[in-house]
Amino acid sequence: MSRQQAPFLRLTNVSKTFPGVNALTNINFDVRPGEVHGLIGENGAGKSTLIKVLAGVYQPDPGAEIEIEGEKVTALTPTESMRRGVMVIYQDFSLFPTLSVKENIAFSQQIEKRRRLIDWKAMEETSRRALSTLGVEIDLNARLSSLSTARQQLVAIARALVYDAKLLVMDEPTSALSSGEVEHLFRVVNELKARGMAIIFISHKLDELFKITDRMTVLRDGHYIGTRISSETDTNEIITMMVGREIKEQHLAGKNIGETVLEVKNISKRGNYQDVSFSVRRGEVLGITGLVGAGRTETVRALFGLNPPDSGEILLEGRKIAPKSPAQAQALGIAYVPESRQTEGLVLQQDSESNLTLSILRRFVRNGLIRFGERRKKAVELIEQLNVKPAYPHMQVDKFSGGNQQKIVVAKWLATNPKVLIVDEPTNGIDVGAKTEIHHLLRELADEGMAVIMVSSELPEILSISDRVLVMRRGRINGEFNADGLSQEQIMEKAVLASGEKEA
Amino acid sequence: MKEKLTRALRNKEASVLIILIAVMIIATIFNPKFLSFVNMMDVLKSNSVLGICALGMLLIILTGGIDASVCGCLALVTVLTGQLAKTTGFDNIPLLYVMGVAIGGVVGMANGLLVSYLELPPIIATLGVNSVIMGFIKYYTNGTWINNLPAKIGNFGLYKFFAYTDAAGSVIGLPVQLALYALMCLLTWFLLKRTMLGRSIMAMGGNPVSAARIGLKTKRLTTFAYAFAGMMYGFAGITYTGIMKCVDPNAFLGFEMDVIGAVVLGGALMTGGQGSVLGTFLGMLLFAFISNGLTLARISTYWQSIIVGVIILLAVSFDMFKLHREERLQTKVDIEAKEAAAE
Repeated sequence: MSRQQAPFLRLTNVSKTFPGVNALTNINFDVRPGEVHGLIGENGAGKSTLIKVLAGVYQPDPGAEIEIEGEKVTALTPTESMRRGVMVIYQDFSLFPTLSVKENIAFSQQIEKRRRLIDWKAMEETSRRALSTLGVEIDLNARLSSLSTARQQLVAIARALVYDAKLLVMDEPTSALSSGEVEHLFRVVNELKARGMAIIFISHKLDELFKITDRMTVLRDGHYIGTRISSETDTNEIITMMVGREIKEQHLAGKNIGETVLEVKNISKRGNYQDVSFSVRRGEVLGITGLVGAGRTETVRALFGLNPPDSGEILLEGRKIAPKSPAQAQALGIAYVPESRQTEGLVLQQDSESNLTLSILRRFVRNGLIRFGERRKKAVELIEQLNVKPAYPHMQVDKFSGGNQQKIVVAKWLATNPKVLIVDEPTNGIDVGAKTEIHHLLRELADEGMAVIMVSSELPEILSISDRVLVMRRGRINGEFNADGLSQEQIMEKAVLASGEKEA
Repeated sequence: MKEKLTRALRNKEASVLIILIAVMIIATIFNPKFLSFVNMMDVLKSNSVLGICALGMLLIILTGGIDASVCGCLALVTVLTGQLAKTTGFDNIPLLYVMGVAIGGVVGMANGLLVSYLELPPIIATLGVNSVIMGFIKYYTNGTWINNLPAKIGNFGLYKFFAYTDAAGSVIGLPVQLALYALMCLLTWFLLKRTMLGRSIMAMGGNPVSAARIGLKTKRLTTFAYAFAGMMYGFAGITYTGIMKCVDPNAFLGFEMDVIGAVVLGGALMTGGQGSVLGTFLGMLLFAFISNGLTLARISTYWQSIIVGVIILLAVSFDMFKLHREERLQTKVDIEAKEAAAE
């Protein structure tokens, strides 16, 4: 029935460019009253940017058309967006942890009425009504922070109702819910839908999207790929749309793969990863991929002593190890290049020489003093080895390009002669040329005998240098492949679907 | 019923109350005089200044800020009003209060503007303001006390409600300072519980980003909190002059630690958003009772300061410990149930 209705919101030719980046390119999209419209795409496909355009946080580039209830909107500001009934529930919910449930639901209404004194009765009445619309019972006087995530989310939805929302945008609403809670959320969403509300449902999880949505729109690299009616499409088609045409990249295969260096047996940590087992060999690059929130980073941090497991074993060259701190892990021969190199990997205000030698500073100390000549020699050596440009040991690190900063972080760890090198999103925010260089560098390090573990969301990157690929989903390893002849679709399927769920 | 009880026990104020009762029992064992009406009234009278200042500090801590200018603010208020009273014989108590509140309000407002509009870190902004004021005070007073204030000021400080003279000849009653403190508690409680302004400050302290998103004017709210605190210090300053009958420009050196300590002991969270008038009242009592109990037990003031310091560190460490524990137990990855994976 909803299909004949005029759309509540229609976007035509919406683009958004940031300096140097096309975040969105010619997006066409509409959502109708009484419809749940799924929005899906890989990490960085442009979903978040699109939401921010809807919320009025970002202004689209000129030439875009936004229509709400058939009326053209020229400048969509945050207040204008809300006034027209667009409510976004962000992943963090935007609630007030130390206030009561009723205040969280009805506070904005009190602001709108420009009240000076709180009208507790009205707040109670309003919030009670909103919650009963959702069919849930929550103690109105409870402090918000005492509620579970699922209940906090319901409070956030109730608040949207108070705003008289006509379009509810839910950003990854199920990411922190248990399966029972997801069922309950779906009942609430269906109830809102029956009342004629339009809902945009953003999720990584294909199985859930097929269950709850009427239509799905796929974005990829900021482009609009297409919209499908959920009951008339299948997971294969959606996955193909998400991944796109295969770009065959040069595959850098390992040359001398040797014996197992690191073995992980059934490690688990509550709320982080579960029953994870894998091994990596000398000379091998092991790619670990999956969607954001799948537990990849949480898992590799366990190897570096940052997120120790509750149970399970880690074996390094056959010996059981249990690193409890990065210092211990480093002493054992494990190196970790974190995803956010600027905040976790570098001392930005210092020069490249100090950064390069930071992890091995002790080696240059004699009688409690640093021997700067020796330190300089080592730094120059590392700069040459990794081809850091410009080759200035005295340039402040934040003046180097992203690619060269990354090389400096990697070099810093190379200096410790690790047996296992873990890199997390090694080419995040690095230009294409430098990317290839980093790929070759990682491959070379493996060929020289190191065991490399690379966490990455970029499938072409995973395919180009991995020898084997692990796909994680919801804290578990959901697939393991040999990289030879592997396709992006095969990986994506394991990232978005539970094993054996393909026939949906 | 049981649920209500556990919630009440988990309540910060409840845990402060339990510690408070423990302190009272121990103090009474050491010296039974501790629990006497006269001693209680004395303790409350001399700590009413601390209590009033703590109400102001509470608002600042609720915003996630801190105020290191308590000493300077109190000194400025007491010196300026004291000098006026001494030189001109001005002794209109209500008007002195109005002036004190106004001077304190101006200092607080300056703090607030620096913190909210220039976005200075609160500790730096207030330390700076404090240093400027203290420099001025030294220049102006040369460190000398202001004595010989009009008699009316001292008499006001001695005033007691429901007073009667007992057999031994001493006057027993409710000290005026206590009544003033109760009044300020009520005012602050009303502000925080009943007004949009107060609730908005609570909301902002808990989640500044969301507060801005729902249209709260966070800069104005922050400025108000600091100005309110300044006014409270001003009110406390005049009250203090009434008790002491003279002005010592250096009387308040280090007093900000006591004030912050009382608020923190009362269960307020330094990160903002959490804290209450009741808790701050209990925190002040705890602070006062520990000092008084130690005095009655004839333990030197050095020890008092050490013990109070340790208790504050323990209270804050406990909060941090709880926070880290919660963070550690937080679910980062929604792990799929085993059955679904095995299918």
